[in-house]
Amino acid sequence: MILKASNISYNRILKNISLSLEKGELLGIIGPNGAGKSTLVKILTGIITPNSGNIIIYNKNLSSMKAFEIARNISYIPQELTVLHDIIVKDFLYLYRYSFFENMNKSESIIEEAAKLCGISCLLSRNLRTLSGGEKQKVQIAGAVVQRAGIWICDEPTSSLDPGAKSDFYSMIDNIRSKKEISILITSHDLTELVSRADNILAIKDGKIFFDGICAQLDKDILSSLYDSDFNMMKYNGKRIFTIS
Amino acid sequence: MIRKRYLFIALVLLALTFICSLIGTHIDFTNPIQKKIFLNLRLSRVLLSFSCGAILALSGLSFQTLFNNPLASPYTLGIASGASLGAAITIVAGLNYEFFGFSSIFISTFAGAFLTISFIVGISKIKRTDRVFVLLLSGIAFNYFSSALVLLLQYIGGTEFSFQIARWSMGSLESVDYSPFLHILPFLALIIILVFSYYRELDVLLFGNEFAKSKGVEIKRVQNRFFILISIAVGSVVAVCGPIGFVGLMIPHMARRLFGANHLPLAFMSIFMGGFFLTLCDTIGRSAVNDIQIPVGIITSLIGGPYFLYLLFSKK
Repeated sequence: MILKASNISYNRILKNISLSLEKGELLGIIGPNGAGKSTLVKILTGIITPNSGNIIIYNKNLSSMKAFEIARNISYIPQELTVLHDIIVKDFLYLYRYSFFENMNKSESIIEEAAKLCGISCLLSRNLRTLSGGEKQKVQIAGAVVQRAGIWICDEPTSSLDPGAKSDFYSMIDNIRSKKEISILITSHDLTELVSRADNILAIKDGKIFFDGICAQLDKDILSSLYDSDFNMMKYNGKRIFTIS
Repeated sequence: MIRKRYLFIALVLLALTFICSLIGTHIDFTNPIQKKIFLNLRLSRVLLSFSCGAILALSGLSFQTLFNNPLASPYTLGIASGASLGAAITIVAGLNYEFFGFSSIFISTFAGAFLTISFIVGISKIKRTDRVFVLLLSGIAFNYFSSALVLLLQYIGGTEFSFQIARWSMGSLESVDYSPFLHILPFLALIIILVFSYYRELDVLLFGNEFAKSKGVEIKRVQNRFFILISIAVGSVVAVCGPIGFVGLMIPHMARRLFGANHLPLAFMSIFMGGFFLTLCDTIGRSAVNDIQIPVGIITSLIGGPYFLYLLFSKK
Protein backbone atom coordinates (compact mmCIF):
# COMPACT_ATOMS: atom_id res chain seq x y z
CA MET A 1 0.00 0.00 0.00
CA ILE A 2 1.52 3.34 -1.00
CA LEU A 3 -1.09 5.70 0.44
CA LYS A 4 -3.29 5.03 3.44
CA ALA A 5 -5.51 7.65 5.05
CA SER A 6 -7.22 6.75 8.33
CA ASN A 7 -10.13 8.50 10.05
CA ILE A 8 -9.64 11.90 8.43
CA SER A 9 -11.87 14.63 9.86
CA TYR A 10 -11.77 18.32 9.00
CA ASN A 11 -14.02 20.92 10.63
CA ARG A 12 -17.57 19.93 9.71
CA ILE A 13 -16.65 19.10 6.12
CA LEU A 14 -15.15 15.60 6.48
CA LYS A 15 -16.00 12.95 9.07
CA ASN A 16 -13.84 9.86 9.59
CA ILE A 17 -12.80 9.25 6.00
CA SER A 18 -10.46 6.32 5.41
CA LEU A 19 -9.06 5.21 2.08
CA SER A 20 -6.08 3.42 0.59
CA LEU A 21 -4.31 3.38 -2.73
CA GLU A 22 -2.31 0.45 -4.08
CA LYS A 23 0.58 0.60 -6.52
CA GLY A 24 -0.74 1.14 -10.06
CA GLU A 25 -4.33 1.56 -8.86
CA LEU A 26 -6.79 4.15 -10.18
CA LEU A 27 -9.19 5.21 -7.44
CA GLY A 28 -12.19 7.32 -8.43
CA ILE A 29 -13.80 9.60 -5.87
CA ILE A 30 -17.33 10.70 -6.63
CA GLY A 31 -20.01 12.61 -4.79
CA PRO A 32 -22.33 15.59 -5.14
CA ASN A 33 -21.06 19.19 -5.05
CA GLY A 34 -20.10 20.21 -1.51
CA ALA A 35 -19.58 16.59 -0.38
CA GLY A 36 -15.97 17.37 0.63
CA LYS A 37 -14.05 15.85 -2.32
CA SER A 38 -11.82 18.89 -2.92
CA THR A 39 -11.12 19.27 0.81
CA LEU A 40 -10.09 15.61 0.94
CA VAL A 41 -7.75 16.13 -2.02
CA LYS A 42 -6.15 19.16 -0.35
CA ILE A 43 -5.62 17.13 2.84
CA LEU A 44 -4.09 14.21 0.93
CA THR A 45 -1.68 16.56 -0.87
CA GLY A 46 -0.64 18.27 2.38
CA ILE A 47 -2.08 21.65 1.36
CA ILE A 48 -4.36 21.68 4.41
CA THR A 49 -3.91 19.85 7.70
CA PRO A 50 -6.79 17.70 9.01
CA ASN A 51 -8.17 18.12 12.55
CA SER A 52 -7.70 14.41 13.19
CA GLY A 53 -6.59 11.24 11.44
CA ASN A 54 -3.34 10.39 9.76
CA ILE A 55 -2.00 9.81 6.29
CA ILE A 56 0.81 7.38 5.52
CA ILE A 57 2.70 7.66 2.25
CA TYR A 58 5.32 5.02 1.44
CA ASN A 59 5.41 4.11 5.16
CA LYS A 60 6.00 7.71 6.24
CA ASN A 61 3.57 10.00 8.03
CA LEU A 62 2.54 12.93 5.79
CA SER A 63 2.53 15.38 8.73
CA SER A 64 6.22 14.70 9.41
CA MET A 65 7.28 15.10 5.76
CA LYS A 66 8.83 18.29 4.42
CA ALA A 67 7.10 20.03 1.49
CA PHE A 68 9.77 18.90 -1.01
CA GLU A 69 9.46 15.27 0.15
CA ILE A 70 5.69 15.39 -0.40
CA ALA A 71 6.22 16.91 -3.86
CA ARG A 72 8.61 14.09 -4.80
CA ASN A 73 5.90 11.55 -3.98
CA ILE A 74 2.64 13.30 -4.90
CA SER A 75 1.71 15.28 -8.01
CA TYR A 76 -1.36 17.45 -7.64
CA ILE A 77 -3.46 18.30 -10.69
CA PRO A 78 -6.13 20.91 -9.84
CA GLN A 79 -9.39 21.67 -11.67
CA GLU A 80 -7.79 24.29 -13.86
CA LEU A 81 -4.61 26.25 -14.19
CA THR A 82 -5.02 29.98 -13.64
CA VAL A 83 -2.14 31.80 -15.30
CA LEU A 84 -1.85 35.56 -14.84
CA HIS A 85 1.71 35.94 -16.11
CA ASP A 86 3.45 35.39 -19.42
CA ILE A 87 5.67 32.32 -19.31
CA ILE A 88 6.71 29.84 -21.96
CA VAL A 89 5.55 26.26 -21.39
CA LYS A 90 9.10 24.87 -21.10
CA ASP A 91 9.98 27.35 -18.33
CA PHE A 92 6.71 26.56 -16.59
CA LEU A 93 7.39 22.81 -16.66
CA TYR A 94 10.78 23.50 -15.10
CA LEU A 95 8.92 24.73 -11.99
CA TYR A 96 7.72 21.15 -11.47
CA ARG A 97 11.36 20.17 -10.83
CA TYR A 98 11.61 22.56 -7.86
CA SER A 99 11.70 19.76 -5.28
CA PHE A 100 14.82 18.27 -6.91
CA PHE A 101 16.89 21.49 -6.53
CA GLU A 102 18.58 21.01 -9.88
CA ASN A 103 19.42 23.44 -12.67
CA MET A 104 17.58 23.87 -15.95
CA ASN A 105 20.18 21.98 -18.05
CA LYS A 106 19.68 18.81 -16.02
CA SER A 107 15.90 19.11 -16.20
CA GLU A 108 15.75 19.82 -19.93
CA SER A 109 15.83 16.22 -21.15
CA ILE A 110 13.23 15.20 -18.52
CA ILE A 111 10.93 18.01 -19.71
CA GLU A 112 11.36 17.11 -23.37
CA GLU A 113 10.73 13.43 -22.67
CA ALA A 114 7.55 14.24 -20.71
CA ALA A 115 6.33 16.60 -23.45
CA LYS A 116 6.85 13.83 -26.01
CA LEU A 117 4.95 11.33 -23.88
CA CYS A 118 2.02 13.75 -23.49
CA GLY A 119 2.10 14.91 -27.12
CA ILE A 120 2.80 18.54 -26.27
CA SER A 121 6.28 18.92 -27.78
CA CYS A 122 4.84 21.50 -30.19
CA LEU A 123 3.59 23.59 -27.26
CA LEU A 124 6.93 23.84 -25.42
CA SER A 125 7.86 27.25 -26.83
CA ARG A 126 4.32 28.69 -26.62
CA ASN A 127 3.16 31.24 -24.04
CA LEU A 128 1.17 29.31 -21.41
CA ARG A 129 -1.39 32.12 -21.14
CA THR A 130 -2.41 31.73 -24.77
CA LEU A 131 -3.21 27.99 -24.53
CA SER A 132 -6.76 26.60 -24.45
CA GLY A 133 -8.20 24.94 -21.34
CA GLY A 134 -7.57 21.46 -22.79
CA GLU A 135 -3.97 22.30 -23.72
CA LYS A 136 -3.35 23.70 -20.22
CA GLN A 137 -4.58 20.46 -18.67
CA LYS A 138 -2.20 18.52 -20.95
CA VAL A 139 0.60 20.78 -19.70
CA GLN A 140 -0.43 19.94 -16.12
CA ILE A 141 -0.23 16.22 -16.90
CA ALA A 142 3.20 16.73 -18.49
CA GLY A 143 4.10 18.62 -15.29
CA ALA A 144 3.07 15.64 -13.20
CA VAL A 145 5.31 13.43 -15.35
CA VAL A 146 8.16 15.93 -14.94
CA GLN A 147 7.64 15.92 -11.16
CA ARG A 148 8.24 12.14 -11.26
CA ALA A 149 5.96 11.36 -8.31
CA GLY A 150 4.47 7.90 -7.93
CA ILE A 151 1.06 9.18 -6.81
CA TRP A 152 -1.11 11.53 -8.85
CA ILE A 153 -4.01 13.29 -7.17
CA CYS A 154 -6.37 15.01 -9.61
CA ASP A 155 -9.20 17.26 -8.43
CA GLU A 156 -11.99 17.36 -11.04
CA PRO A 157 -9.39 17.74 -13.80
CA THR A 158 -11.92 17.76 -16.62
CA SER A 159 -14.67 19.92 -15.11
CA SER A 160 -13.90 22.92 -17.33
CA LEU A 161 -13.17 20.99 -20.52
CA ASP A 162 -15.35 20.41 -23.59
CA PRO A 163 -16.26 16.76 -24.44
CA GLY A 164 -13.40 16.41 -26.96
CA ALA A 165 -10.79 17.76 -24.53
CA LYS A 166 -12.23 15.53 -21.79
CA SER A 167 -11.81 12.46 -23.95
CA ASP A 168 -8.23 13.55 -24.83
CA PHE A 169 -7.46 13.94 -21.12
CA TYR A 170 -8.57 10.41 -20.26
CA SER A 171 -6.80 8.92 -23.31
CA MET A 172 -3.63 10.60 -22.15
CA ILE A 173 -4.04 9.16 -18.65
CA ASP A 174 -4.55 5.68 -20.20
CA ASN A 175 -1.44 6.12 -22.32
CA ILE A 176 0.72 7.18 -19.36
CA ARG A 177 -0.63 4.37 -17.15
CA SER A 178 0.32 1.87 -19.83
CA LYS A 179 3.92 3.15 -19.80
CA LYS A 180 4.52 4.15 -16.19
CA GLU A 181 3.43 2.52 -12.98
CA ILE A 182 1.65 5.34 -11.23
CA SER A 183 -1.19 5.32 -8.72
CA ILE A 184 -3.94 7.81 -9.49
CA LEU A 185 -6.71 9.26 -7.38
CA ILE A 186 -9.26 11.25 -9.40
CA THR A 187 -12.28 13.15 -8.12
CA SER A 188 -14.75 13.70 -10.93
CA HIS A 189 -18.35 13.95 -12.06
CA ASP A 190 -17.55 12.09 -15.33
CA LEU A 191 -19.15 8.86 -14.13
CA THR A 192 -18.93 7.01 -17.44
CA GLU A 193 -15.26 7.84 -18.05
CA LEU A 194 -14.31 7.14 -14.44
CA VAL A 195 -16.25 3.91 -14.05
CA SER A 196 -14.76 2.49 -17.25
CA ARG A 197 -11.20 3.05 -15.95
CA ALA A 198 -11.15 3.05 -12.16
CA ASP A 199 -10.22 -0.04 -10.18
CA ASN A 200 -12.13 1.15 -7.12
CA ILE A 201 -14.66 3.85 -6.35
CA LEU A 202 -15.13 5.84 -3.17
CA ALA A 203 -18.35 7.85 -2.92
CA ILE A 204 -18.66 10.69 -0.41
CA LYS A 205 -21.87 12.35 0.70
CA ASP A 206 -22.12 15.06 3.39
CA GLY A 207 -18.50 14.47 4.38
CA LYS A 208 -18.96 10.75 5.09
CA ILE A 209 -18.14 7.62 3.10
CA PHE A 210 -21.28 6.56 1.25
CA PHE A 211 -19.82 3.76 -0.85
CA ASP A 212 -16.42 2.10 -0.97
CA GLY A 213 -15.85 -0.82 -3.30
CA ILE A 214 -14.84 -2.10 -6.68
CA CYS A 215 -16.25 -0.40 -9.74
CA ALA A 216 -18.43 -3.34 -10.77
CA GLN A 217 -20.43 -3.00 -7.53
CA LEU A 218 -21.49 0.55 -8.36
CA ASP A 219 -25.01 0.52 -9.75
CA LYS A 220 -27.81 2.92 -10.57
CA ASP A 221 -29.44 2.55 -7.14
CA ILE A 222 -26.29 3.61 -5.29
CA LEU A 223 -25.85 6.56 -7.66
CA SER A 224 -29.53 7.53 -7.34
CA SER A 225 -29.34 7.81 -3.58
CA LEU A 226 -25.86 9.42 -3.72
CA TYR A 227 -26.99 12.26 -5.99
CA ASP A 228 -30.72 12.25 -4.97
CA SER A 229 -31.70 11.80 -8.64
CA ASP A 230 -33.02 8.88 -10.69
CA PHE A 231 -30.15 7.23 -12.54
CA ASN A 232 -30.42 4.79 -15.44
CA MET A 233 -27.67 2.52 -16.67
CA MET A 234 -27.08 1.13 -20.14
CA LYS A 235 -24.27 -0.73 -21.80
CA TYR A 236 -22.57 0.42 -24.99
CA ASN A 237 -19.47 -1.26 -26.44
CA GLY A 238 -18.94 -2.96 -23.11
CA LYS A 239 -18.95 0.39 -21.29
CA ARG A 240 -21.48 1.12 -18.57
CA ILE A 241 -23.12 4.48 -19.22
CA PHE A 242 -25.04 6.25 -16.48
CA THR A 243 -27.70 8.80 -17.33
CA ILE A 244 -30.29 10.71 -15.32
CA SER A 245 -33.87 10.02 -16.31
CA MET B 1 21.65 32.82 -15.66
CA ILE B 2 21.77 36.56 -16.18
CA ARG B 3 22.33 37.12 -19.87
CA LYS B 4 24.88 39.55 -21.36
CA ARG B 5 22.01 41.70 -22.66
CA TYR B 6 20.82 42.31 -19.11
CA LEU B 7 24.34 43.15 -17.92
CA PHE B 8 24.61 45.69 -20.74
CA ILE B 9 21.27 47.33 -19.83
CA ALA B 10 22.30 47.40 -16.16
CA LEU B 11 25.57 49.13 -17.05
CA VAL B 12 23.71 51.69 -19.18
CA LEU B 13 21.32 52.41 -16.27
CA LEU B 14 24.28 52.74 -13.91
CA ALA B 15 25.98 55.18 -16.30
CA LEU B 16 22.74 57.20 -16.63
CA THR B 17 22.47 57.29 -12.83
CA PHE B 18 25.96 58.75 -12.63
CA ILE B 19 25.11 61.30 -15.35
CA CYS B 20 22.16 62.41 -13.14
CA SER B 21 24.69 63.53 -10.55
CA LEU B 22 26.20 65.92 -13.11
CA ILE B 23 22.84 67.54 -13.92
CA GLY B 24 22.09 70.85 -12.19
CA THR B 25 24.40 73.74 -11.33
CA HIS B 26 27.64 73.33 -13.29
CA ILE B 27 30.47 71.87 -11.26
CA ASP B 28 34.05 72.92 -11.95
CA PHE B 29 36.10 69.88 -10.96
CA THR B 30 39.33 71.89 -10.95
CA ASN B 31 37.96 73.92 -8.06
CA PRO B 32 38.57 71.93 -4.83
CA ILE B 33 35.56 73.45 -3.04
CA GLN B 34 33.19 72.66 -5.90
CA LYS B 35 34.70 69.18 -6.15
CA LYS B 36 34.05 68.68 -2.44
CA ILE B 37 30.47 69.92 -2.86
CA PHE B 38 29.97 67.43 -5.71
CA LEU B 39 31.37 64.52 -3.72
CA ASN B 40 29.57 65.30 -0.46
CA LEU B 41 26.26 66.60 -1.75
CA ARG B 42 25.59 65.30 -5.25
CA LEU B 43 27.32 61.93 -5.27
CA SER B 44 26.14 60.97 -1.79
CA ARG B 45 22.58 61.94 -2.80
CA VAL B 46 22.74 59.85 -5.99
CA LEU B 47 24.10 56.84 -4.09
CA LEU B 48 21.33 57.25 -1.51
CA SER B 49 18.56 57.55 -4.13
CA PHE B 50 19.91 54.59 -6.10
CA SER B 51 20.02 52.37 -2.99
CA CYS B 52 16.54 53.41 -1.81
CA GLY B 53 15.08 52.91 -5.30
CA ALA B 54 16.65 49.45 -5.50
CA ILE B 55 15.29 48.43 -2.09
CA LEU B 56 11.78 49.69 -2.93
CA ALA B 57 11.77 47.95 -6.34
CA LEU B 58 12.99 44.61 -4.95
CA SER B 59 10.49 44.83 -2.09
CA GLY B 60 7.61 45.59 -4.46
CA LEU B 61 8.64 42.74 -6.75
CA SER B 62 8.72 40.25 -3.86
CA PHE B 63 5.46 41.43 -2.30
CA GLN B 64 3.57 41.32 -5.62
CA THR B 65 4.70 37.70 -6.03
CA LEU B 66 4.07 36.68 -2.41
CA PHE B 67 0.62 38.26 -2.28
CA ASN B 68 -0.15 37.20 -5.84
CA ASN B 69 -1.51 40.68 -6.25
CA PRO B 70 -0.31 43.24 -8.82
CA LEU B 71 -1.39 46.09 -6.51
CA ALA B 72 0.84 44.99 -3.63
CA SER B 73 3.65 47.43 -2.85
CA PRO B 74 6.37 47.65 -0.18
CA TYR B 75 3.82 49.57 1.93
CA THR B 76 1.05 46.94 1.66
CA LEU B 77 1.57 45.72 5.22
CA GLY B 78 1.13 49.27 6.61
CA ILE B 79 4.87 49.83 7.13
CA ALA B 80 4.82 53.40 5.79
CA SER B 81 1.91 54.41 8.04
CA GLY B 82 3.57 52.85 11.10
CA ALA B 83 6.80 54.66 10.27
CA SER B 84 4.90 57.93 9.67
CA LEU B 85 3.27 57.57 13.08
CA GLY B 86 6.72 57.12 14.64
CA ALA B 87 7.97 60.23 12.83
CA ALA B 88 4.89 62.28 13.78
CA ILE B 89 5.26 61.35 17.47
CA THR B 90 8.94 62.38 17.43
CA ILE B 91 8.17 65.69 15.69
CA VAL B 92 5.24 66.62 17.95
CA ALA B 93 7.05 65.49 21.12
CA GLY B 94 10.06 67.55 20.03
CA LEU B 95 12.46 64.64 20.61
CA ASN B 96 15.91 65.42 19.28
CA TYR B 97 18.71 63.05 20.16
CA GLU B 98 21.31 60.92 18.49
CA PHE B 99 22.08 57.28 19.22
CA PHE B 100 25.15 55.63 17.63
CA GLY B 101 25.01 58.15 14.81
CA PHE B 102 21.29 57.55 14.13
CA SER B 103 18.96 60.56 14.49
CA SER B 104 15.84 60.47 16.67
CA ILE B 105 13.58 60.56 13.60
CA PHE B 106 15.45 57.60 12.05
CA ILE B 107 15.10 55.55 15.21
CA SER B 108 11.40 56.37 15.77
CA THR B 109 10.35 55.78 12.14
CA PHE B 110 12.32 52.54 12.04
CA ALA B 111 10.75 51.47 15.34
CA GLY B 112 7.30 52.41 13.94
CA ALA B 113 7.88 50.21 10.89
CA PHE B 114 9.22 47.32 12.97
CA LEU B 115 6.36 47.44 15.49
CA THR B 116 3.86 47.54 12.62
CA ILE B 117 5.21 44.39 11.01
CA SER B 118 5.37 42.61 14.39
CA PHE B 119 1.74 43.57 15.02
CA ILE B 120 0.51 42.52 11.55
CA VAL B 121 2.37 39.18 11.55
CA GLY B 122 1.13 38.60 15.13
CA ILE B 123 -2.47 39.11 14.03
CA SER B 124 -2.03 36.70 11.12
CA LYS B 125 -0.96 34.01 13.60
CA ILE B 126 -4.21 34.37 15.59
CA LYS B 127 -6.39 33.68 12.56
CA ARG B 128 -4.82 30.68 10.89
CA THR B 129 -6.81 30.38 7.69
CA ASP B 130 -6.31 32.56 4.58
CA ARG B 131 -3.07 33.92 5.98
CA VAL B 132 -2.13 36.11 3.03
CA PHE B 133 -5.63 37.57 2.89
CA VAL B 134 -5.53 38.34 6.64
CA LEU B 135 -2.12 40.01 6.27
CA LEU B 136 -3.35 42.12 3.36
CA LEU B 137 -6.51 43.29 5.10
CA SER B 138 -4.76 43.84 8.45
CA GLY B 139 -2.23 46.02 6.62
CA ILE B 140 -5.00 48.09 5.04
CA ALA B 141 -6.86 48.42 8.37
CA PHE B 142 -3.66 49.45 10.16
CA ASN B 143 -2.97 51.97 7.37
CA TYR B 144 -6.24 53.78 8.04
CA PHE B 145 -5.83 53.56 11.81
CA SER B 146 -2.33 55.01 11.96
CA SER B 147 -3.12 57.63 9.29
CA ALA B 148 -5.94 58.82 11.54
CA LEU B 149 -3.51 59.02 14.48
CA VAL B 150 -1.05 61.03 12.36
CA LEU B 151 -3.86 63.42 11.37
CA LEU B 152 -4.84 63.72 15.03
CA LEU B 153 -1.24 64.59 15.96
CA GLN B 154 -1.14 67.15 13.12
CA TYR B 155 -4.41 68.65 14.35
CA ILE B 156 -3.40 68.97 17.99
CA GLY B 157 0.24 69.78 17.19
CA GLY B 158 -0.49 73.12 15.55
CA THR B 159 0.65 74.68 12.26
CA GLU B 160 4.40 74.32 12.68
CA PHE B 161 4.35 70.61 13.57
CA SER B 162 1.65 70.00 11.00
CA PHE B 163 3.90 71.47 8.28
CA GLN B 164 6.91 69.44 9.46
CA ILE B 165 4.93 66.19 9.38
CA ALA B 166 3.43 67.00 5.97
CA ARG B 167 6.89 67.90 4.60
CA TRP B 168 8.36 64.65 5.96
CA SER B 169 5.60 62.61 4.33
CA MET B 170 6.47 64.07 0.89
CA GLY B 171 9.82 62.25 0.99
CA SER B 172 13.26 63.74 0.62
CA LEU B 173 16.70 62.55 -0.42
CA GLU B 174 18.58 65.61 0.71
CA SER B 175 21.87 64.69 2.37
CA VAL B 176 25.01 66.55 3.34
CA ASP B 177 27.30 63.54 3.72
CA TYR B 178 27.47 59.78 3.19
CA SER B 179 25.90 58.77 6.51
CA PRO B 180 22.29 58.27 5.19
CA PHE B 181 23.70 56.13 2.35
CA LEU B 182 25.82 54.16 4.81
CA HIS B 183 22.74 53.61 7.01
CA ILE B 184 20.84 52.20 4.03
CA LEU B 185 23.67 50.08 2.58
CA PRO B 186 23.43 47.08 4.99
CA PHE B 187 19.68 46.88 4.34
CA LEU B 188 20.26 46.93 0.57
CA ALA B 189 22.75 44.08 1.00
CA LEU B 190 20.23 42.23 3.19
CA ILE B 191 17.40 42.43 0.66
CA ILE B 192 19.66 41.52 -2.28
CA ILE B 193 20.88 38.42 -0.42
CA LEU B 194 17.30 37.53 0.51
CA VAL B 195 15.83 37.84 -3.00
CA PHE B 196 18.75 36.12 -4.72
CA SER B 197 18.66 33.26 -2.20
CA TYR B 198 14.98 32.65 -2.81
CA TYR B 199 14.48 33.49 -6.50
CA ARG B 200 13.44 29.91 -7.34
CA GLU B 201 10.80 29.94 -4.61
CA LEU B 202 9.48 33.26 -5.98
CA ASP B 203 9.31 31.74 -9.49
CA VAL B 204 7.03 28.97 -8.19
CA LEU B 205 5.03 31.24 -5.84
CA LEU B 206 4.11 33.44 -8.82
CA PHE B 207 1.53 30.79 -9.72
CA GLY B 208 -0.19 30.80 -6.34
CA ASN B 209 0.36 29.32 -2.90
CA GLU B 210 -1.44 26.05 -3.65
CA PHE B 211 0.68 25.48 -6.75
CA ALA B 212 3.88 26.35 -4.88
CA LYS B 213 3.09 24.08 -1.94
CA SER B 214 2.32 21.16 -4.21
CA LYS B 215 5.69 21.67 -5.91
CA GLY B 216 7.52 21.52 -2.58
CA VAL B 217 7.93 25.15 -1.46
CA GLU B 218 7.87 25.67 2.34
CA ILE B 219 5.50 28.61 1.95
CA LYS B 220 5.22 29.74 5.56
CA ARG B 221 8.98 29.82 6.07
CA VAL B 222 9.55 31.80 2.86
CA GLN B 223 6.68 34.20 3.63
CA ASN B 224 7.88 34.90 7.18
CA ARG B 225 11.45 35.60 6.09
CA PHE B 226 10.29 37.94 3.33
CA PHE B 227 7.65 39.77 5.38
CA ILE B 228 10.02 40.48 8.25
CA LEU B 229 13.25 41.22 6.39
CA ILE B 230 11.60 43.30 3.66
CA SER B 231 9.69 45.30 6.25
CA ILE B 232 12.93 46.03 8.08
CA ALA B 233 14.62 47.14 4.83
CA VAL B 234 11.64 49.27 3.76
CA GLY B 235 11.46 50.68 7.30
CA SER B 236 15.06 51.85 6.90
CA VAL B 237 14.22 53.59 3.60
CA VAL B 238 11.19 55.34 5.14
CA ALA B 239 13.30 56.31 8.16
CA VAL B 240 15.91 57.97 5.94
CA CYS B 241 13.81 59.46 3.11
CA GLY B 242 10.15 59.36 4.13
CA PRO B 243 7.44 57.32 2.41
CA ILE B 244 8.31 57.56 -1.30
CA GLY B 245 5.47 56.08 -3.31
CA PHE B 246 5.07 54.39 -6.70
CA VAL B 247 8.66 53.06 -7.14
CA GLY B 248 7.81 49.74 -5.50
CA LEU B 249 4.54 49.47 -7.40
CA MET B 250 5.60 50.59 -10.86
CA ILE B 251 9.14 49.25 -11.36
CA PRO B 252 8.21 45.55 -10.83
CA HIS B 253 5.42 45.93 -13.41
CA MET B 254 7.80 47.51 -15.90
CA ALA B 255 10.46 44.86 -15.22
CA ARG B 256 8.01 41.95 -15.64
CA ARG B 257 6.85 43.41 -18.92
CA LEU B 258 10.38 43.76 -20.23
CA PHE B 259 12.11 40.72 -18.73
CA GLY B 260 9.42 38.07 -18.20
CA ALA B 261 8.47 35.96 -15.19
CA ASN B 262 11.85 34.54 -14.14
CA HIS B 263 12.86 36.18 -10.85
CA LEU B 264 16.64 35.94 -11.28
CA PRO B 265 16.93 38.41 -14.18
CA LEU B 266 13.83 40.23 -12.90
CA ALA B 267 15.35 40.94 -9.49
CA PHE B 268 18.70 41.85 -11.03
CA MET B 269 17.10 44.35 -13.41
CA SER B 270 14.75 45.72 -10.72
CA ILE B 271 17.79 46.84 -8.69
CA PHE B 272 19.04 49.01 -11.55
CA MET B 273 15.63 50.15 -12.80
CA GLY B 274 14.43 51.12 -9.32
CA GLY B 275 17.73 52.81 -8.50
CA PHE B 276 17.80 54.76 -11.76
CA PHE B 277 14.11 55.74 -11.60
CA LEU B 278 14.36 57.22 -8.11
CA THR B 279 17.59 59.03 -9.00
CA LEU B 280 15.96 60.44 -12.14
CA CYS B 281 12.92 61.63 -10.18
CA ASP B 282 15.16 63.24 -7.58
CA THR B 283 17.25 64.92 -10.30
CA ILE B 284 14.08 66.34 -11.86
CA GLY B 285 12.89 67.46 -8.42
CA ARG B 286 16.09 69.32 -7.58
CA SER B 287 16.79 70.84 -11.00
CA ALA B 288 13.46 71.36 -12.82
CA VAL B 289 12.59 74.62 -11.08
CA ASN B 290 15.25 77.18 -10.18
CA ASP B 291 15.88 77.67 -6.45
CA ILE B 292 13.16 75.19 -5.46
CA GLN B 293 13.71 71.54 -4.58
CA ILE B 294 10.49 69.66 -5.22
CA PRO B 295 10.21 66.68 -2.80
CA VAL B 296 11.00 63.44 -4.60
CA GLY B 297 7.75 61.75 -3.44
CA ILE B 298 5.77 64.30 -5.45
CA ILE B 299 7.80 63.62 -8.62
CA THR B 300 7.59 59.81 -8.34
CA SER B 301 3.80 60.01 -8.03
CA LEU B 302 3.45 62.62 -10.78
CA ILE B 303 5.43 60.43 -13.21
CA GLY B 304 4.34 57.08 -11.79
CA GLY B 305 0.56 57.67 -11.81
CA PRO B 306 0.14 58.42 -15.54
CA TYR B 307 2.80 55.88 -16.54
CA PHE B 308 1.03 53.19 -14.53
CA LEU B 309 -2.22 53.96 -16.35
CA TYR B 310 -0.35 53.82 -19.67
CA LEU B 311 1.03 50.38 -18.75
CA LEU B 312 -2.46 49.19 -17.84
CA PHE B 313 -4.13 50.31 -21.05
CA SER B 314 -1.30 49.47 -23.45
CA LYS B 315 -1.07 45.88 -22.21
CA LYS B 316 -1.98 43.38 -24.91
